[in-house]
Amino acid sequence: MYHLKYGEIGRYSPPGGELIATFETKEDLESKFRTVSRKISGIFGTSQKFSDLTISAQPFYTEFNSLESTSQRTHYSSLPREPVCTENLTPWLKLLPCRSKAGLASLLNPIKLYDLFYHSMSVEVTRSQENSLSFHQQLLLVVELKEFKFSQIFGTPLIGPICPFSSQTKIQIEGFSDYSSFTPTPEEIGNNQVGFILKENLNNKKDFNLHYSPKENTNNNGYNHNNIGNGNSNNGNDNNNNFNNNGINDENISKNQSIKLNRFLKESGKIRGGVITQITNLEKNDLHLTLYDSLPWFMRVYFHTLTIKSNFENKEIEITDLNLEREQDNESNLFANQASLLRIQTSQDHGRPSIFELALVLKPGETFQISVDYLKGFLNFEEHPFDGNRGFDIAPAIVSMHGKKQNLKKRIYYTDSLLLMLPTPDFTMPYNVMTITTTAFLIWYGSFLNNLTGRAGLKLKKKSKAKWIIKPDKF
Amino acid sequence: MMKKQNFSYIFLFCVLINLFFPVCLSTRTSTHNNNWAVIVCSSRFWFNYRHVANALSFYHTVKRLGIPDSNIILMLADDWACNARNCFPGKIFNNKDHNLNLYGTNVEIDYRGYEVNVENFLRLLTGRHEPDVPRNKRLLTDSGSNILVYLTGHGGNEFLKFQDSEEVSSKDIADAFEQMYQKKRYNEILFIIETCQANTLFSKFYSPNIAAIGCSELGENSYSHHFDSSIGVQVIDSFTYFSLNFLNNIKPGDSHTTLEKYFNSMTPKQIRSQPRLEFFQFQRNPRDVLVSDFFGSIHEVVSHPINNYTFKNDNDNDNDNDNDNGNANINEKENVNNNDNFQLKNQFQHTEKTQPNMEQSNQFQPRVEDEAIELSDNYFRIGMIILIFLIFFFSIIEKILT
Repeated sequence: MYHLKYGEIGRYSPPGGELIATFETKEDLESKFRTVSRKISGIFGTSQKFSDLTISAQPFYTEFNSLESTSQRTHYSSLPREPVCTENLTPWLKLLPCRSKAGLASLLNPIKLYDLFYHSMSVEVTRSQENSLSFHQQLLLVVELKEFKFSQIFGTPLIGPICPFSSQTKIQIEGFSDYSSFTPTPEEIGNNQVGFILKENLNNKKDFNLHYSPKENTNNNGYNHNNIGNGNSNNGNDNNNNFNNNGINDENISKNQSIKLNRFLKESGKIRGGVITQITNLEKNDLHLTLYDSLPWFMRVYFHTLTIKSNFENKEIEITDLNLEREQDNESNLFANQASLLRIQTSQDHGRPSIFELALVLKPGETFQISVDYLKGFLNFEEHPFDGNRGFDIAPAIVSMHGKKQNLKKRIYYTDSLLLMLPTPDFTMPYNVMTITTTAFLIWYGSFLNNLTGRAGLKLKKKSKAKWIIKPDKF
Repeated sequence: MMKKQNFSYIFLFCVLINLFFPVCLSTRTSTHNNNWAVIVCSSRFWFNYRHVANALSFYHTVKRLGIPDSNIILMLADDWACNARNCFPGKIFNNKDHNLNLYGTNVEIDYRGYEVNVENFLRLLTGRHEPDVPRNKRLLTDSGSNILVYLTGHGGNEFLKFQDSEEVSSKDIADAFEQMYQKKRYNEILFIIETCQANTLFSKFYSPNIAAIGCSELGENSYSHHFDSSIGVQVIDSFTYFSLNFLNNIKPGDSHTTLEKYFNSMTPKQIRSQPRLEFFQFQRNPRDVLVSDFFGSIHEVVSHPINNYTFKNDNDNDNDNDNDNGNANINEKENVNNNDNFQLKNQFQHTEKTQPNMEQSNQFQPRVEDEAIELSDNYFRIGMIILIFLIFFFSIIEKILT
């Protein structure tokens, strides 16, 4: 999991791609989402399967943006196997006003970018209540380096002009112990942040190559997070190019985590299986979490097997059924019990997925293990994808943190995606069947036809000389 | 004797006239006004890396010769550049010396992964899409479009295999082209196919104005060119390799290289199979068909060097055409002005308001096409001069001998 290994920073994304669309009204969500997802997949060069109804669904209790409660108006689709490569970076860069020709984006070279431990890019468009549009692009990279230097990370120092359309180009540095080891030395840019505001620096025609050379022999084998965020507001002239540079050492990683998430399949054969999600609370207070899990229709979930176990107690935890239709979530009611079932949606064959949403309250240090069993469904021959023997990718579960005590934004965590092996047919069967039956049919019918339609008349005498018998010579 | 002399003088006169006028005419007889390209790699799995490299090589060529991304539909059945199995992330090579990264920094793939299937391919050609399909996945051609269709993958007698599980037959493609003809969706089509037994795939075409190149006859296989041990698979097919050898010598705007020349540049011995070039009811003379009719895009690019423009702030309204305020070249990064108005903005505004000053545009760059014409004219003129000398020489000898 990303956050476990590299620390918590930025906005997470699940493996592959995801699309979240919030609409103004609840009606006709599916066709609206279909239109939106197709247009967006055209812009970003992703596949059109986002609009597939067997994958996409609506999480009622997960809030993806912190602005307002969007329950029941948000449609969510996740494709864990979507490849992310240069052809997705190109349109992402084309959305920036200066593209990759000026400004911080001129550092981005796909050859370097896709050689890193982790990369993720996202675009967020929100319309606030005053009808102003906010457009936020974020690129998140995890780089492991022995030496922190721009020319090492990106392959090039920052040369060339700043994007003239941006109102501010800022590089922000966090997490280092000693800021004076940087060349050039960063300055205070307000709110306990250090960094650079770049309008003047680059116009002095020097290459900007941020270099960190520690004076003491500290252990610098940490991971460096480069968080490049660009913000645009509605009139388009107010463009902030922010570059957040966080160096985090190993000791700091464990301080940053709030929860530990794990999810895996429990399988015994080609017929049955189970999904187990483990959540551990690493903080010092109680955590209020909602878990959203959607499983495709061919995992026929037995909801009566949904159980939660805790490492603090010996028996299972009782799940209170709060399967209610709510317009606005009232947080105190949701988290009244240790575990409540907020919603269940049963699946439809070749149609919608099965969904369950839980509200959980975890004490500090507690681990919940949520398990549910399923029966593997049967797919038609044509429904298997072209590489059917690989298996199916199951979208990750979403855990979101609620709570008034949180000073942070409401955080959303994703589990790993799963790979489910369904029993596959022999894909060469149609070819085999056709050849065997046509051959058999031909032999029968052909001889039948020949005998029936042979002409009465002369039949050529065959010479009875058997030429292929060769008498052996004397040895 | 007199007649002969008169005749030779008349001849000389005609020749002298010809020296001072351009003689060579462009061989362009094309009737199209825009170019599109559909490039398809139909095979999946790592061991078919070379098909992806083939398709990307043609994509690269076509982009270099001028067709913009908005007019190219690229369909790749599997993505290998950022796959964990690829030792060179973000890079796809078509040669074992790794000179050129086909993926580059600017690539637009329109159909990827599972979307590359027979249904989408035929819908793309005929234009019969579902209503929500985005623009970059549509072939928005009209009756003046020349389309290059390049297919690569595994195939056989009258079929092409998609994704190792579906097939499209020659009759399907012929019918799709006929639909395009009836709906006036193309001017001319060049159909290049590189699979085993490729020539059979265009045996059923019945629509006019289609040219087809296949790389192997019925019963023949098409072979890969060479193996790259650092990647572990074959990286390119023979037909594409020799095509690129030829096409890399073509510059944008080329107006002399015919399709026949391109086809003849590859011998069966080199690619180890029998290629075929066939024209189906072509309206114009097949020998006039140029490579740049399909591989390039017509745009007359006239470049005015920026030196001739004067830079002003937005406040100035007078049309000042002289070079007095020549304020530096935008191209060089060191000379970025300290004004708040960015120089690039000024330049664009300037071109809308004023006309370029023709007297000072003595550095006007001629079209690449005109350059080629001049070159051949020069050859002709040199030849004529030699001819004149020969005439004089022989007439003198004649006089001496008689």
